[in-house]
Amino acid sequence: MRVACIWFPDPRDVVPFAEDCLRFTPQICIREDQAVFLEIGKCYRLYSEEVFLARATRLLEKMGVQARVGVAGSIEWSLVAAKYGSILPEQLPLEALYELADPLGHDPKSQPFVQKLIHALPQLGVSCLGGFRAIPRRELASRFGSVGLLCRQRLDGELVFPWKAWLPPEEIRETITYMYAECPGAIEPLLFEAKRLLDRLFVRLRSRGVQAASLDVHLLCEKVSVNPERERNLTLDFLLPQADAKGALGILREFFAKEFERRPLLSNVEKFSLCVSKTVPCNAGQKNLYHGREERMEALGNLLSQLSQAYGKGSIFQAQLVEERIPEFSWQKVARVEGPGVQLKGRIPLRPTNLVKPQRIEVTENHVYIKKKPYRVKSWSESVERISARWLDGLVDRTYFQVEVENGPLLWIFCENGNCYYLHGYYG
Amino acid sequence: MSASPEKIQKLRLLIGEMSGLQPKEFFRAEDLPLGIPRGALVEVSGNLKTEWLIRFLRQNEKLQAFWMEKEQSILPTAIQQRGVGLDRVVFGEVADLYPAIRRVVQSQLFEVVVVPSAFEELRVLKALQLLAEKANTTVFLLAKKPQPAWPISVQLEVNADPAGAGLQVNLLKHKPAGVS
Repeated sequence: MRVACIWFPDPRDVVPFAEDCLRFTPQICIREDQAVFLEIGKCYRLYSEEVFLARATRLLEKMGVQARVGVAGSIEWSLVAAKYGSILPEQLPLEALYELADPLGHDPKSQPFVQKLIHALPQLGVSCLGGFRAIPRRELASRFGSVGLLCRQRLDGELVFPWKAWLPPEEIRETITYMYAECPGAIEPLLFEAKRLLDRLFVRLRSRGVQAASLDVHLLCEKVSVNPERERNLTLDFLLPQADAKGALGILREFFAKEFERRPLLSNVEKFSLCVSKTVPCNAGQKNLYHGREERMEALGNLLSQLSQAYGKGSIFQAQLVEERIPEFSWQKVARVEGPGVQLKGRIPLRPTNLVKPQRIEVTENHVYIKKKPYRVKSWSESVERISARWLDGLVDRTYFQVEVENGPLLWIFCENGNCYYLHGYYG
Repeated sequence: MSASPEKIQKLRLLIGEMSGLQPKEFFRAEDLPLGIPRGALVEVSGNLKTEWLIRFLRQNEKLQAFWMEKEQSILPTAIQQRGVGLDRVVFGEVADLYPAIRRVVQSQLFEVVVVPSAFEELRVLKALQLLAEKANTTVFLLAKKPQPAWPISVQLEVNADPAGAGLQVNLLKHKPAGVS
């Protein structure tokens, strides 16, 4: 095996470069933001290593990217060769152990252990990997643990890092281009065309057993003087994943209505493209013919997504309880409730049905004044709940009471700082 | 001697069956022997209307509800504490209630829709009543005071029982049973 590593000193997105390297070999592995590894040993009949180095250098020049190339017999050694310019242990610093221990950067938990190893070795008079190799193996495990042993095995070439194949992300995109003035820049003609694109997109998604979670919409308008902004790239995030073109079309209608109300299209459309940017797995099996539960869930997901698109993100939701005593933070908005959630039985007193923003009220012996309106107090309970939380960031220290008033619901009032009363909710 | 509402309701159901009409479905309600009709507008007023509604949802375990308000005030923690699973309730915080209610009711995905009674125009209530009947969805209107509107089939007033035994439910109107 011969592995070539292209290492980028400055972190960058390596995926476009990895896609370009598919011309050399289909066996590619990447380290996020840092390096691309190519298996070139099996391509010896197509090109030699020198030819590969020349072509890779030329490719980097064309892309205007600074990088270093190294070739060795494994992933970890090719990375060391690219980064430090050598694979001789005597010439390599101790920092090269990071690359030997975790060349792909997938195991951040090993980093502290390698760091300890690197700090400890100079105390033993070891300043390079050659010195580390000279340490007797039987002493490694007791001194430096399993990480030390692993690094030694990689250094001796006994343990080769397994190849983790990278495949280019598949783009599920449908595009349509128009002749001059064929597609006006308005909602209905665009939706008419979108139906075709969505049908094709969702057939492809269904065959892959996935649902669409997000759509990228690209519109290119005809070049006219009154339309300075001829290209639009929009992103439509579904509240719940969609598996049906008809449902997605309704959501797209709401999306376009809002977008074009804000920024209308000022010329005809030249190119219209829909791309599924995010997918989630779905049950691709046969639907149960004896009940319509799957259809109902799909229709529900579609309705909620449409409403969310029409009325704004966060307007349509389900609620999930969280482990938090403060009432206003005791629940959170979710798209769909998953799982049983937090169980409250017997843990907190009965909360009021309606919560309001804490509003300061005045309390006298027989009356409470809410927005300056007096309510005669019929009864004032003993403290029903005491909440004292968030000591580190904004102390909350409240004592709650239930207060019965004439011609009104049962109020939930808390006292803070001993004499400040606030209305927080009511039972009704 | 006037017949009791229960007898009138039974008669109506019998007549409906004999003429081949679809019998009206009713949801169970502990405090109401007559039940809550499906596909109708139900107005609930009084100090404890929300408590009653949550109790109603607890009694009818399979109902899916859509709870809509202009500004979120209902506390989901309280709903769960009173025995109603939060997976059965979808919440909506919408400034313009009527178009949203229309879409939810027309979808026929929820057996119960709960909204504040913010509609004064009779034609809006009439349209809602027709939609609810067609979709077989019960729309609960939470009102501060009962309003005299013919599209509303059932009107209840819920307050605290003076004897301290829970809720006192006052049936003001029940169209299917001929109570007014």
